[in-house]
Amino acid sequence: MKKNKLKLFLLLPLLLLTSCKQENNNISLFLYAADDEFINELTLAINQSFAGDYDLEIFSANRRQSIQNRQISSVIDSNLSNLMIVNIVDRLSSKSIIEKAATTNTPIIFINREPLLEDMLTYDKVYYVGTNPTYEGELQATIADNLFGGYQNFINSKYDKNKDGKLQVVQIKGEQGHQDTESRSYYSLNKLNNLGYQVDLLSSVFCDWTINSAYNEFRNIYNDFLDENFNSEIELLLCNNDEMAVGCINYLLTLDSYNEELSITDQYFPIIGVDASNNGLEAIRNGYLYGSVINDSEMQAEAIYKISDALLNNKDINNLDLTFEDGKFIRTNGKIVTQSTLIE
Amino acid sequence: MKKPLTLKIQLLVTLLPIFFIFTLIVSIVSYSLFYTNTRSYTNNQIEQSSYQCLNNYETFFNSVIDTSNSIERKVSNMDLINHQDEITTYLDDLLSLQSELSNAAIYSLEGEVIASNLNYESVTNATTTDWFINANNNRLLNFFSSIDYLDGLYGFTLSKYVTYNTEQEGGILKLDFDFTNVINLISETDLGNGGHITIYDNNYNVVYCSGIFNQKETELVQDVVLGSKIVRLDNVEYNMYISTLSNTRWKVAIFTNYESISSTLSNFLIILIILTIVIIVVEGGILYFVSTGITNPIRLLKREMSNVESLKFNPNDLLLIKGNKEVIELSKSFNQMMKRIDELAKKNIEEEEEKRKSELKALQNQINPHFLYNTLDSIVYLIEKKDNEKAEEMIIALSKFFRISISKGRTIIPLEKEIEHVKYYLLIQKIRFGKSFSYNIDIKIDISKYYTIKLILQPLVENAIIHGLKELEGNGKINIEVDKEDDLIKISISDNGFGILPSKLNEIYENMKDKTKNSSVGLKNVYQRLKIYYGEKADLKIISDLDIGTTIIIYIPISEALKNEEK
Repeated sequence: MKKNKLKLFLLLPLLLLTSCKQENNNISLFLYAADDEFINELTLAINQSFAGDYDLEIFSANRRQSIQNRQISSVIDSNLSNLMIVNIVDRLSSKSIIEKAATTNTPIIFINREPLLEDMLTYDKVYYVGTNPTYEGELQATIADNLFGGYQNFINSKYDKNKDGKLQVVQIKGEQGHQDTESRSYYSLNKLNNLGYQVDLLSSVFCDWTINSAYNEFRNIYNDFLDENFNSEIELLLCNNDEMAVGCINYLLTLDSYNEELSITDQYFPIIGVDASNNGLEAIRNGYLYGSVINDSEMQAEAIYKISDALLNNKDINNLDLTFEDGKFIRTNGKIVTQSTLIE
Repeated sequence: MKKPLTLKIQLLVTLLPIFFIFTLIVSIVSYSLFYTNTRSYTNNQIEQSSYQCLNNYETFFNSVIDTSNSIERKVSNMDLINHQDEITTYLDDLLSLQSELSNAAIYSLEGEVIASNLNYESVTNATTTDWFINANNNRLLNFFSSIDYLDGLYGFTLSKYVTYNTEQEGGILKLDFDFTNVINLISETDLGNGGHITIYDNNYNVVYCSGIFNQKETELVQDVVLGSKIVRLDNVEYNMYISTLSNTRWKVAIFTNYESISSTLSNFLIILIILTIVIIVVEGGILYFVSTGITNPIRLLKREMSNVESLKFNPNDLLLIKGNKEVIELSKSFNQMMKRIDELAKKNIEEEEEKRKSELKALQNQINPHFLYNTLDSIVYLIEKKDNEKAEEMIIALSKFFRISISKGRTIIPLEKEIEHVKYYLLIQKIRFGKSFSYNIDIKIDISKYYTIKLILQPLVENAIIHGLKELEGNGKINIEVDKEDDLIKISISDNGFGILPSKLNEIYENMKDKTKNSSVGLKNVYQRLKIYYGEKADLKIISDLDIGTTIIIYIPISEALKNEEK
């Protein structure tokens, strides 16, 4: 009896230890920043799809790759995570992070910020889920084209304000070096060109996805391009995301010439964003933002969930109803959102 | 059965391990706390300084990237061909603002310089260079060349594909940076002896190393990839901290000497071990003294008690044991008990003495009164016979005989007197019995100093006359001899009678020694008195040869015979 008690006593810490041992369901989510509107929506969607089945721990790197490195290395070194979802700060660091994950054979899903393909190919348990920025850029062009009713109808229309037959465009870009920035910017103009428009890029500026930066940069640009009657020469404002579009709108709303009766599209020029974030949708309803492209966070979250589930439970990734580009990349296609689609 | 342990041993055996374990636990706990705290503190510090180091690099590289970005922004909406002066001024301004920037130029995709600072020497065959090809191949990335070391200066080149003239045309931006000041600044970070910083490129080629590069460290860096770890290089411990350098595809490994913490820990461990041993020894000593203090009085008490057991006990020598209260009280009670026992014993002895004396008196008083009557009868007879001379002689002898017998009531008289007493007796008896026996007294030693209990010889002589000589008409002989044998005075009384049969002799002996039988034979009376007074050493022996005679010998210890006092 006494011996049994002693055994129990000795076993107790072991039992405690084993009860503490995690099962196969710890997922760490590393975000580049905690104040990015779209990232927050995506995080929320991921949280919802993983809720109940998995424990999700979220880290934010405050836009510093060195902080994210520390977070990742501490998680990997202490073996706390069965799978990592990484919204990398600096896509050039992806190689190191993939190598680090490979030391413990931890699967890793990059989101939102695309690592380099050459890095992705060095490890079999790495995937990317993000948007299709090329298609998003093209959809921005399509929205504008739909509004103008084709290039022929644009010429000399009220949208061709200076009646020169050219489309004067300003680009508000996201972050320098971000693949979405470059692709959205490039392919929106590319598509307009393909649709026959003569595009005159007045200015393009990097605003790091944020409202404030866009507000300040756009103030300069707006004032740089005024005709002799102090009317804006801009005929189309393309923004890499809705947040920056809202920043531009906020500036326009401060102008003396702003008339609450008219939509911004009619009064100044159409503004088209990407993401269809909550702020963006609000702006569309208010008639400030003409259109946006849904960067479908829920769809991405679902894809992330499916890949995670397959990786953690040794299911064949190829049996999922997902299309991988280069065997590694999931890029969700956006959809057009305007006031009229919202009504529908 | 197990042998019971002494209290002291038991105290030591029980308490010492407890103290020992307790001290050990305290030592182990304090070491592990110190170990964890020191390690985490040092690791923290190292991490902080590594982080600071990295920060310095990143700040620099961020400024480099910022420079590249601002040029890119500037030219993206600029017609470079038609605004040569403006761009040159802009680039020169940048050069003067940022001391690290030594050259800035934009090459067309054909390899021609489109714009540059004033004193720029263009690169021939630019399209074949690494910086050009890499920047052109991945148009989104800033490309960093490896760090060159030339004439004491560290330099590197950043190249990036840029668009200009409202994104209608593309070119390659080339920026040359002087890295020397930054490297010198960061090298000032104290990384300890042998500590250094190594920068690796994407494929673990060394781009830069601030100290002596060790081939083995590349393997370690490849193992750890990111984060920190304690590693060994050439038998020296380092904290290796690895991070990426943002905006580059490079990796920084910072090696900080970690030996100091090991020596701190081992010093502490040595001190702790010494301290633990000292404490345990001191504890043992204290425990020994305390347990001795507790048990020693008990041990002394035990010894006192065993003194009593071994009859070496003297109540005046009893010690009052010093020690704790319980033991003192125990000792007091013991002493009291012993005193009481002693008192009782003394009383007992006194009572015994009294009893002995009264017995002695009683025995002395058993002297046959018939002798007096017979003697008086003989005197009357002599007077009737008008033998006045003899009558007078007899009366004088009788008077002297009784004087000695009574001796003013004393028990002890000089041996000479006792002998004299016997002489008078013999004289009286000789007159009574006529010439029926002769006697001889032979004193071989000086007896003037010796004393004896009175009336021990007369009964024996009486015996000899009555039993030994009665039948021998006229030939009887009594021989009294006083001599020394060892430490005894030997007084023998011999007759030349018929002797005693051995069986009769045994009966006499038995009768003589038996106290309980109250037969007042003279022999027994003398024997009992000798034993009562002188103890075991005194003796009475009867030697008898049939038809030759009987000798009775009295032995008295000389030491006792010298005493002239009644016990």
